[in-house]
Amino acid sequence: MALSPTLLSDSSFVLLHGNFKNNLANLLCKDYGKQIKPNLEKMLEELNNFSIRLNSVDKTLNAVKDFIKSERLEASKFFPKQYFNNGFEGADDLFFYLKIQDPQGYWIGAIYLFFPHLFLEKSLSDELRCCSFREGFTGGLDVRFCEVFSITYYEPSLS
Amino acid sequence: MVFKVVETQRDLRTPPKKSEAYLSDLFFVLYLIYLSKTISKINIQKCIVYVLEKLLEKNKLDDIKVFNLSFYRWGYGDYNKCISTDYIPELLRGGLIEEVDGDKNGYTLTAEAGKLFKRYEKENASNEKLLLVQEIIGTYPEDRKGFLFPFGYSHKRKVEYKGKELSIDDLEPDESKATAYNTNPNEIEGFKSNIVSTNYLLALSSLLDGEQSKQEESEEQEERVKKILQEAGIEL
Repeated sequence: MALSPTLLSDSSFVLLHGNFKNNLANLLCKDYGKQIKPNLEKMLEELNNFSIRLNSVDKTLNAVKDFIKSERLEASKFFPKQYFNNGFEGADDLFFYLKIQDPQGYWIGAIYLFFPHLFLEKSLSDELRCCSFREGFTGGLDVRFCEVFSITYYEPSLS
Repeated sequence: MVFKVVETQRDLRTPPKKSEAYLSDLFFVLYLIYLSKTISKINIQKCIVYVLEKLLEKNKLDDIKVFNLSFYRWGYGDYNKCISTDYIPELLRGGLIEEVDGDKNGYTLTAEAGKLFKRYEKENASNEKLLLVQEIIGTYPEDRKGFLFPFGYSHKRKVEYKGKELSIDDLEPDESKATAYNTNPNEIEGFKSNIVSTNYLLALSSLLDGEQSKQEESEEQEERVKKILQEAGIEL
């Protein structure tokens, strides 16, 4: 499956972190049995739909906040590795996740993201520099509107 | 108040099928290790039974859901082999626990898992259900690497079977008879714990995946990822 052009990694709108792609590739290689590929595709489809909705939002701080509310995005407890390792806590409520689960509850997945605008508002430039994809962040406008930093999937491997 | 032994038609060593139920169980084992600092494999088993029994005594077993697996009489009191053959290996594989001084009978959390649980504890400082569970675990005897207490406790613990009050060791070993449980032992799907929110369970799932992401980003790695995604027909 191909993701929408708005999700392309060279888009100035959404950035897919290398870690997201690594994890996706690792999950594809994991031995969860036959179902993992269609389930991951379902997750990517949800991400696609999310990005289409996101695309219609004004690129202002207030619009980001309203969007988060309307999408009922929950705060994540998982953070980009560098942020986690550096012991930052100032942006703990500024990371979010899209939860995706099958109706029976046999598997569950999440796609993790954040909106750099929110960091800028709170002057959390160190935190942002720490978790942003490239180290070239200078505190200016050189950030994407939405950054997708990780993906997880869990299904009990019942023997 | 004691547990009534429940006869089921299934093998109680089978873990719950639902993902959030399974993750809930892993989370609880980790939480137990977090509070204990270091705990032996046998004490993980016995301490969970201890928590379930205390919840039953306080009439809180229906309100507080922490653990899916039921326990059964084994050679040494209550036991569920799945904890040793499935849960602990899964946590070791994911780099969330490690053996203490190379001793396969003692476990402690890794620094990464410890950070998650510090946050969890801080954020849930006023969660009454969690506080009660924490208090109960705190009353479990301190020498958690020792063997005497858990065996003695688990052998002598009383249960009701066919209208009679018996000790665990009066029962025949049987992996289909539940001697301690948090919910109906016949239930195979499992439940999500109500002392932990989904975002923490997902964080746990991410940490279990985490070992694979530690590889440094390199051209070789990028090529590998690109190839896997291409082969799967995923274009990013």
